[in-house]
Amino acid sequence: MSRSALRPALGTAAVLAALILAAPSALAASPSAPVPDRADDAGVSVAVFGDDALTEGQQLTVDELTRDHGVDAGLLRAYARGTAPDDSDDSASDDSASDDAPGAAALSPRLAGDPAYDLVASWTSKDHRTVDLRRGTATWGYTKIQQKHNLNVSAVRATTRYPEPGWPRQQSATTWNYLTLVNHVRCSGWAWWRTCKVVDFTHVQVTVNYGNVKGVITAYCIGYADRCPEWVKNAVNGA
Amino acid sequence: MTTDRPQLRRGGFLREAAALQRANTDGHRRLTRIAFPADDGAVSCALVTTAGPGAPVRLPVTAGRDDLYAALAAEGGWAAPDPGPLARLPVTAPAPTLLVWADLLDDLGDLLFTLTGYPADVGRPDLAPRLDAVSLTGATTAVVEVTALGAAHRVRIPLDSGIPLVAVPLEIAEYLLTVDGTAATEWEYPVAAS
Repeated sequence: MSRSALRPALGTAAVLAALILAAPSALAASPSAPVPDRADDAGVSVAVFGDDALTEGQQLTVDELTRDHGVDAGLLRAYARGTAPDDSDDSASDDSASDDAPGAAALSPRLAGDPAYDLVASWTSKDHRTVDLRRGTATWGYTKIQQKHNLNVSAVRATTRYPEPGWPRQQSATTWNYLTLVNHVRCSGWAWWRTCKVVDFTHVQVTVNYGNVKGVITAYCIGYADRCPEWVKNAVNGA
Repeated sequence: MTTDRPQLRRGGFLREAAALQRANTDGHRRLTRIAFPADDGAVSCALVTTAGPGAPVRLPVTAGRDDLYAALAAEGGWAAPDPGPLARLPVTAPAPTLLVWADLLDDLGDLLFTLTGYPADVGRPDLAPRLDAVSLTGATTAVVEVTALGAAHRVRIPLDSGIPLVAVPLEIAEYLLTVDGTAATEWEYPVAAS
């Protein structure tokens, strides 16, 4: 991994303190102010994949995240409202879960006749390969990734799309590992006054078999034997 | 992810052995045991036992499927392996048991790096499990032997469960993490759909 675990500590100057302190109640009282969605007031934790430019402690506006770090502002708002598409529901058939094979999850092709081989999602990786994510069992595939490691399709897909420099790395004749840095960005505030801060990070690794078309074998957070932190599932880029 | 080159070489050999077994699934010829003895320190060879009359053959772990085929030629009856890689998903019962066995060997070989890599990634590089042998016991059971922290572990894997055997080395690593690897164990591989 290219980034040291010891990040340079940034000063904690509250660059956007004035905006944070902007009183939503006062704005709401103004007849001309837009009526906010109250859910926007709630803090939200999201994950920015594969962005070495972010540093722990860094504070940003949503505009900066969108403009400079590839964050989908609409997706960020959706997470804040609790309306983000839940692609952990493997019955979902939207194209966000299967951009290279729209509707693949709904079609559930029974390759080799076993439901474990059903395709949950499929997409193109950074190195221009087709990554298949199969239902699997408790020992591999999406079932394991979801149940044991607390990850979802978005997190696995983003890892293969935004790997660290020097990755993916070949591990055997047909299997590759993808590793990526994932920044935990916590946003709070209200509507376009929302401010965000990088509060933590981890690394996610995804193992993909191409030769036997098993697809994604596993995905997990480095240093975590079991469940990844909940926020890692809230990918706001690379979806 | 650390790279365990001896483990990778053992994995490569298992895939070559799998290719030979794939071409021989009618029951006449079978690989009954592939061991990686540590007696030479570098674990640079594989000891292959068959159900045939011949003595075990010793090959370098860098040997290919044709080398193995040639080494077993004296037994007679072996079909030549296909030179191509396995490009399909692993089969399950009711497919012929020897084909399931061959696919298990291929999976073990493909993902053997996870046996050491996964424990290291989650904070237990000291566990460093090592594959000692894999064998076919009885008609429908495979046994994988590994050593971790000086303790030997035997994992019995049913070949007739009907559940795909995928990522078996990873699951063995997970198990060794839970038992801390310090005491020898016999373990039934968990075959479950979910």
